[in-house]
Amino acid sequence: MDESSLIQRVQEGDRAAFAEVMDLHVRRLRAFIALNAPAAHLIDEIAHEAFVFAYNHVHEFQRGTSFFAWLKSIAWNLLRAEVQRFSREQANQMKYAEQRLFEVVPAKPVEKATRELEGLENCLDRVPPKLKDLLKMRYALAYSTREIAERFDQSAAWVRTTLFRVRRQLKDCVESRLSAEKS
Amino acid sequence: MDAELIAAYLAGELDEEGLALLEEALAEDPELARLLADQVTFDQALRALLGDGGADRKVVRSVLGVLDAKPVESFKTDFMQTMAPVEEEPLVSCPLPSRKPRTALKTPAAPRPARALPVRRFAAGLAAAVALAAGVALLALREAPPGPDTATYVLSASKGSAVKRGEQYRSARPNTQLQPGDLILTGRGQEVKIGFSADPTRVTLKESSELKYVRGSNPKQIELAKGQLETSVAPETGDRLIIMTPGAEVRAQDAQFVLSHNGSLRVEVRKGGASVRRRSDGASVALGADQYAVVGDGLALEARALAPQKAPAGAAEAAVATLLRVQGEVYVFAGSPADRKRAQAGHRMTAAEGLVTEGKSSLAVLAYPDDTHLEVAGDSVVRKLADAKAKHVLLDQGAVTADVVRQPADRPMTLETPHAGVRVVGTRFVLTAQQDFSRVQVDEGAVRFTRTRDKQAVDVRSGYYAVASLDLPLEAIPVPGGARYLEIDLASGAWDGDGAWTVQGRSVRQAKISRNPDASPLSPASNLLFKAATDRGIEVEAVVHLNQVSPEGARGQAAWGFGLVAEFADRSLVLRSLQGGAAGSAFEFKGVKAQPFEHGRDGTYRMKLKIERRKGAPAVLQGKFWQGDREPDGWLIEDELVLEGPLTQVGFQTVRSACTFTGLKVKILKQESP
Repeated sequence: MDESSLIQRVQEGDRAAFAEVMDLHVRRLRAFIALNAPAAHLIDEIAHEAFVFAYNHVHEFQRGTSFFAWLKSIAWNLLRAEVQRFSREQANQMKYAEQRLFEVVPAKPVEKATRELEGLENCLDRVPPKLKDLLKMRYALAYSTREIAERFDQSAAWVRTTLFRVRRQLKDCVESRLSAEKS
Repeated sequence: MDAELIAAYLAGELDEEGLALLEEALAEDPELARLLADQVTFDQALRALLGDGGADRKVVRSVLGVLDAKPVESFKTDFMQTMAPVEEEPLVSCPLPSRKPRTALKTPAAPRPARALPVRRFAAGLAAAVALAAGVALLALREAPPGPDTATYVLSASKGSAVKRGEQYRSARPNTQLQPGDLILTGRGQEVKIGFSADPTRVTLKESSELKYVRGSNPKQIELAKGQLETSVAPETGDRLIIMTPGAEVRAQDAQFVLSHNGSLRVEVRKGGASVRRRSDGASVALGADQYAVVGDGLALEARALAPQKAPAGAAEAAVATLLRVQGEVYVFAGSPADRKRAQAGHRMTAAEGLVTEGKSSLAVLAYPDDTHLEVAGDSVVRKLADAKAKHVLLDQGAVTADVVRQPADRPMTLETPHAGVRVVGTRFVLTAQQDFSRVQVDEGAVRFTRTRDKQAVDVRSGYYAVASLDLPLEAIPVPGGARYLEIDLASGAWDGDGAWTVQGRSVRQAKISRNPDASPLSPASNLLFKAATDRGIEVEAVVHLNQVSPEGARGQAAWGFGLVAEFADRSLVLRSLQGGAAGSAFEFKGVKAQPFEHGRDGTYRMKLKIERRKGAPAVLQGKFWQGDREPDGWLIEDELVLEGPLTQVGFQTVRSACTFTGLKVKILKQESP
């Protein structure tokens, strides 16, 4: 069943259809939030709240438009509010590094945040195979630094530094794409 | 340097000192904060995009739970039941021989129906460890021509274990059918069990191991690249199991055994028989039940009895140290590290015995009679612990952390590696021996580090390290961000007040519970103080074992407690817990500030006192108090106080309590705050 039909069923009160809608979008929504959240614990919290809000306000959604875009704008607003509240209330409890992240992770327009996610997905496809293996071990299989080092017969410092470089290169790739789109 | 700090921060491997460096850099450089933010958000996004879907499913279930208005706990229960790993899945399309029908196992929701098939159960003797020694004899069986391969499956897999097929990695999951050439990988704490559809043989690959699947039948064949496996080979089918390793080959038809290969190879047979052939020269040996063989340098290939032989009467050797704690893969050997037996806590090590630890999470803690402690961890081989006269440790490879009680001047403790030697009178340090170099890093006190090759030596003090290698100058180098500690001579403390203090090794005990009432001119407190001189800020910490306290009496007359003391030129600063006082129980800077706080009348507690000196401003005082290994991030009590002059002494205080203090450390803070 296509998404539009699923949304229609959700609007008619079909909760099971909403579960299917969530399955379609949860991964990318979490990635979208992750690219803009100063702390990891916010990712699942905001994703949860965004879906709950979307379900409770699904009658306001206009079929024919992008449901994922609507979800992202909900998540974006929730994230901004939560970041402000959290940094205000938890400032005394946070380490300085965490505080700086809350200050520095920017409040950019949701459109730019959307393009960043699409850029990241595209740039990931261009990562060389060996580095893809490294990313898979780290993020898909949750191997520790030492376990990855053993697999590659390298030092733990090499693993950390290489991951750092890969993330920076992905960031550069995303920025290049955004610049190219602008021009 | 900044990139390294950020990389370590993201990996969760940045210690307190490194975090302080990072935060200092963040305060000075706005661009660094931007870089950190990019790294953090991309790290998070990659985890979301590339993860195995567990987090996605959690979110979906949590939302559905809310929409269904289920109580939080029931949704959690439902979720855990769904997500819990299934130990044994029914094999789909797997023509296993069956003895009796068995109810189909419940499977998680799947796109296609699972067909439950009867599965044969086997005796628990799978746990028998077979160390495959080098040079196992070939079984005298005629080789049957290889038949068609039979399906082989993953029966169970710990989360995080993987199957590599070609260049692709995938999570190892139950019901995965293996293909020839598949590599099964397990990390720390993980296991994978595989089964052959042709017969009930089972192979369990243990943690931190690699196994290659070759074929499933006639004969079954696997290759163990490293690590350990346990297997039970079925007798009925007539099909052998061949296990190849880099240096040897094991064959078995009806046996339960464990094979481990980490450099050297060991096979222990618990039931049945197996043969081992050494590839280099074709030498072989046949093993029966309760026998083992080892393939290792300098060892004869022969069957040995697994059960320890009783020593002849009168031949008992005096123990030089006791194994206090054993974690992971720890072995004791006499002679060659390849010929070893599993170590147990409480084992009394003789001068002829050595120790092997294997794997990142393995650890052994030894104590000498004078309370000197040695911690051996990771992949390490300690060949010797003492000789006739003194403590003399031979570290072939790996790392030891030593906490050395003050030794007699004429009998210092010595540690040797292939490249260097360390002479110790009393200190805390880490000595590491790698293939081409050895390194010592000193936390507290000082050691004399001598390069074996040319006998050049250097004194290495706390907060410094040195490396002995062929191509580097031998010099003491400050540990980047490293902590320096004051050397405290526990044997030279002076005490006052109503107490009875004794020092044994690194433990300080106060055994008397004062009966002096609060109104008495004689204080119920007692202090034991040690010389400690610095004009910089300090961080003092210790572990307190509360043995006994004053019996409960009328409020205000039976206050008891314990704490840390720092003496300065102009005043004494005491951070302490004082329970049952007139104003209630508190954690306090005595005479400065008190925080309501209550705890039990026994147990083990940890305290930390931080005094940050500032030029032209009052010192910042911070204190914390906790139980268990996890130190809280925040401080329980904070204040400011004008302190004049340098630190002169540190120590302990008790008030109507009998305590044992251990682990005293006095760290010098980096610099005075402006």
